[in-house]
Order: sequence, then C-alpha cells, then structure tokens
Amino acid sequence: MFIAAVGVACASGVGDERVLAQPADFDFPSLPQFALRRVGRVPPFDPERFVTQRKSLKRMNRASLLAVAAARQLALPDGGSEAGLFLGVGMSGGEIALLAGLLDTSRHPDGTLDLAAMGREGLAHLHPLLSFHVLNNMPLCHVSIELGIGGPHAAIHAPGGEALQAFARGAEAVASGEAPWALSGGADAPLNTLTLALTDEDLDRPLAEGAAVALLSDRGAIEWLGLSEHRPQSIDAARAEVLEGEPSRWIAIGPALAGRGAIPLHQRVGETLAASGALAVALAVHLLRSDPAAATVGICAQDALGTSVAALRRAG
Amino acid sequence: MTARVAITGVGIASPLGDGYEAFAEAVLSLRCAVAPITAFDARTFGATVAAEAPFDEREVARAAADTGLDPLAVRIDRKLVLGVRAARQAVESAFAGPAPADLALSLGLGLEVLLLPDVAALYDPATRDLAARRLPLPGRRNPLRLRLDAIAHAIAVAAGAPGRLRTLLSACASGTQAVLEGAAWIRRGAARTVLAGAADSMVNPMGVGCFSLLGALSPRARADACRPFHRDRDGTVIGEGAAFVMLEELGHARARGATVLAEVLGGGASLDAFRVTAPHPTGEGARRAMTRALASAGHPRIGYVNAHGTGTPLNDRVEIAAIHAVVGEVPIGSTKSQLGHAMAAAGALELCATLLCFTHGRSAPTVHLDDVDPECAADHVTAARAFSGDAALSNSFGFGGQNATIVLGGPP
Repeated sequence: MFIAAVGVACASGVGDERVLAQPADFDFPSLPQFALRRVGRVPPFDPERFVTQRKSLKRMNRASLLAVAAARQLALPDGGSEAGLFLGVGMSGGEIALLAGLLDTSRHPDGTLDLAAMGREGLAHLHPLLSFHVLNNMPLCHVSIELGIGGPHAAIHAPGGEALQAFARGAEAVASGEAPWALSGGADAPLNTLTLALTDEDLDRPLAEGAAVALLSDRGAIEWLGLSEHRPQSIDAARAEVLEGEPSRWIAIGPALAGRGAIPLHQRVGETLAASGALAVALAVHLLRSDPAAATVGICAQDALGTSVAALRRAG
Repeated sequence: MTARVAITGVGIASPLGDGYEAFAEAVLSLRCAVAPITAFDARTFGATVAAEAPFDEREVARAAADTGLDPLAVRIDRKLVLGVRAARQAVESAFAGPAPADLALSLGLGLEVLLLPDVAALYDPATRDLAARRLPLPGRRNPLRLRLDAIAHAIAVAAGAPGRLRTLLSACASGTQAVLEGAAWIRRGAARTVLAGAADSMVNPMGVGCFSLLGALSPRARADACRPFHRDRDGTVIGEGAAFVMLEELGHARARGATVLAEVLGGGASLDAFRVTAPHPTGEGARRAMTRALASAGHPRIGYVNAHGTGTPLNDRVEIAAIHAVVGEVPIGSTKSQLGHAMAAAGALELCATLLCFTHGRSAPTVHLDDVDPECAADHVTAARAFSGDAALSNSFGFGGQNATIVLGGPP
C-alpha cells in the first residue's frame, strides 16, 4: 500500500507535506482562565478557496474546515463515488459562543440553570443548525461532500495513541478491494474554551489545531508498511510487527523516545489530539521525500493504554 | 478463504427492557416505549416524549465508583451506564465464564453530552465565555462533559475486553458500522472474538432541544409520536439504549460448543456526498450501501428489511424507494416506531430486532401504521409475522450522509 500524496493544514501552514519543513509559530492566547500559555493556530487563509459553495461554510465547524482545506491539496484519481474515506475525529466542535444566547436567557443570577426558561425561551436563541456544528463526524461528511467521496468510511475517535487507526483502515480497504483508493487522515480543532477546559490541565506542550489527509492507493512514492496493535508492550515489540530492524528516523506521538533521537511531533505542530496520527504520517512523508538518509520512518504512539508503531519507507 | 462470522451472544439495555428475551417479547408483542420524558423536566420543550431505558441511581453510583468519573456526569450522560449494562450482558450470554483474554471491542458512540449545569455555573454573561475552567463546586471531577475515550475505556474494562479497541462516531450509522468493523476483523483473522455494538442517549435537555430545533422530532406528545411510513408522520422521537453482540469466528464458536444465533453474511457502507442537512433525494447513498451489502453477502434471498425508518417525512419516502430499487418487494419493519431513535445505538438495537428472524422465526413490525403514506407503499410488517427467506437486512443512515447496511443469515 502506498501514500501518493498528503495535504496538511496545521500551525506550520496549509499545503502539502513541505509546509512541515517550517517550524510552527505557537502564539500566546488571551485566555487568562486557562493554564495553557501557548497554542498552535493555522495561519489565516481564505476558506472560500476550498469549498464548492460559500454557503457550506456556515455549516462547517473549525475541524471540518481544516479537514477540507487539507484534503483540497490532493489531486484525486477518478472514481470518487467508490473511494474510501477514513478520518480520525476529535471531541465535539461546539464553541461556547454558540450557546451564549441560550445561557443568557436560561441562567439564574446565581449561575444555576433554569430548565423551564431554557425550553420556553433559551432554545430559540440557538442556531437551528447547531447540531451540525457539534456532531463529531462532520469533518468526514464535509470532506465527502466537497470532494465527492462515496465509498466505505469510518469516523474513528482516537485522540491519543490510537490516532493512526484511520491509516490502517484505509490501507485495508484498498488492499482488500473494498475501495479502489482511499483518503485517510485526521482533524481536530480543540482551541475553544469548552475543549480547553477538558484538556489544558497539566498539558506542558502547546495545544494546536490541525488536519492532514493522505491519498492511499496501490501506487505511490511512499510505502505504508503497516501499524502494530496498540497495547501495553515495548517499542521494539511493536516495531517488530511492522518493520525489521531500526528505522532511519523516529517520530514520537506522546512521550519522546529517549535515546532514539525521535522527533517529538508536538514540537513541530503542537498537541493536535485526533489529528496527531495524520500529521505524523505527513511529517514522515516529508522526511522520506526530503532527507536522503531517511529510507524508513517509524511513528511511535504511546499513551496510558499502550504503545503502537507505524512504519513507512521510500518506495523502490 | 475468509473466516465466517457467527453471533453467539447478545446484550441489550433498551426502553423495551433489558436482555434479549425481554426485548424480543416486547418487540413481537407490539409494545411501544414512547412516554413522557422523566429524565428531566421537559414540559416547556418542543418535544415532551421519548423512549427511555430503565435507569436508576444505584447504577450511577456503581459506574461512577468503578470508573472514577463524576456521578453528575454519569447521571446526565446516560450512555455510559447503558453501555456497561449491555456489554456485560453480551459477554455473559456468550460465555459461561470470563471473556477470552483477547476479546476485542468495536464500539459506536454518540456525541458528548454537554453538562449544562456546569456550563451555566462557569459562564460569565459579561464576556459571554467561560469565566474559569474550574467549577466553584467542590468535588466535581469531570466538568462540562464526559470524554468519549473515557466512556469507551470504561465499557471495555467493564466487559473484560482488553484486546483491540475501535470507537466509531458515525452518528446514526455508528452501531451498524461497529458490528461491520468487528466482523471484518474476524474475517481477516485479526481477531477471534469481538464484542460489537453501540451505546447512546440524547435524552437530555440539549439532545431533545437541538433535535427539536432541527425539526426532526414529532411535536405530538403521544405514544404514537414516531410512526414511520404513516401518511401523517411528522418526525421521530428521541430514544436511547445500548446493544452489543458477540461476534466469533464460526469454527471457534463451534469448537467450544457455543450456540450460534445467526451469521453475519456481509455488509456495505456508503457516503451520500450530498448535504449534511438532508439525505440524497433519490436515496443514492442508501442504494449503494444496500447494493454493496448484498454483493458482499453473495446475493442471498432477503426475507425482511429492518428499515432505518425514522418517521421523518423525507427519510421514509426515500428509503422505501431505495429498498424497492435494490432488494425489490420485501417485508419491511421499522423498530423506531417502538423504540424511538436511539441515534448512535439505533443500528445495534435494530440489528437485535433483525436477529429475531432467526432466533424466533418472526419479523419485527412497524407499529402505529394504520394509514400508510402512498409514497411509502410497501409490504409493511404491522404485526409480528413469520419470517421466510435466507437472510435479513438492516439499514442505518447517519446525519451527514454516512450509511451502513448489514446482512444476517441463520445459523449455518
């Protein structure tokens, strides 16, 4: 299985994998209520460049927009109606601003909720399409609509070490003939106060938004060698499931690989949660294409539940 | 040759009762679980009825103690308690003792539930933002919402499923898709036993409020508020629940003497690629999902279709046309007429209703269907009917255009 191309939208920029050559600019948020002091935002871009109809932007949350922007970097083969689409998706993208009208009318002065007022008046202040901003699967649906992808699919919630599952699933779909080609990736946009409130405690690295989407097919310049199971195990045991010997380069999602010279993904793009697996793959593609000494790249994902390793190599 | 996939256990926590036998009895005796909402005071909301599953404070306390999650969060986000209950049942029904050490979990979940009391407590009307991340209330451990990965982990631990875990968030197609993904692992040899299913509940103020705002819910406060395919249908009803099946490689199941309830013959998925707000007007995505499912199952003779059948004007008309185009004239039922729409869990619950074709020899009905919309004319099963055919099909179509169809056959 091969990765033919990658599109990226992250704190380093919007484009193909080469934007990852630029160090991300982590700015200081004006959010005094949070412990977090650095975040990674995608540099400003014109969203209308990436959608077929301007009105669809009204229905897109930030993660959906980033996923579409990343996917739009790809030149797709014909046959989209049969192609697969597998994305890692994060927590609900709801912004507190979407709820402000409801809270203004449904909250007692002491901060308790007035349910009767919420039903009577508060709900009328919500946007009727709020549901489409908060449903977790929306990044996948918008990519499907904008790019005309109609085949097998999965919106996989894998915010930690299992963020590479969308690539394994896409590779399986193409290898088994379930789809002629597939897009795999991930998108997350956690820089809203509702998500920050759940994630910023003890986070010593910059939280960041981002997305990456790759084209998987039976030909390409980069070979996807596979993904090990994610379980409690040593890095070498996980690596041995997909690659003989040590890779030329390591990329680490989660704790850095001490003594192996790994590139910590969060230093390049920030902590991007459900997008981290996809951005790690994009960085691997960049290394394989730009660094002659990098013939193979291992991506090690670690969290409290286990360790897994994915491997890629430069084809023939 | 790929492995065959057997269903050897079922667990259900539903508005029509707990456990497969109670569920079967209720479905086949035409019971309807839609009633006034009790989970919160919904009297001023646009919809005041729902299909609620049994739920009590002891379960909340136990789940909170077992998981370390906050009791208020567990009480409001009901899918954790329902998911744990159904997952444990499925394991117990499939195995006399503990689950296999490599049991995998393929799980569909719904949206995180916003804990509105927390949000209101933290909200600053002057800035129209959260004033702080920490609640002024002592003892609250998980403010604002339960993380879905925490819920998935809690269900895996409760069920004794330490193997591979996949959590799918495909809206209303999640449950069906979770079973299809689990079956695919077995076919490929990546797992021998997979607990597959889904849990969800939108019976909370934001869930009922948002779907009401969308115009998706029937405004009628009656037990027959959800009446799929009816001439006067006017929306669906929020439901909730969880259902899991134990998927097992057929040879493995036979070798240990397990009772095989049915076989997963195949499945298919598609994306509408049309609009996030509405299904394709000709059901193009639904047709492709069913076509792929039938092809993967080897085109068996379909004797029953459990429709997605939401009771919304557009969905039902489009789905009937799609079924007729792909499957032909076939008995059709919609379990949402009895269970409401359990959102991410709907497909898993309706798979269990479809399973009745093989375990009880009966096809699950659509209730309240006393005046069929001419545009939905079909062979509707309005009372439990003897099943005749080689296979049965169940459809799930999610918000945003994610479709999944599964095909079941009898025990080989």
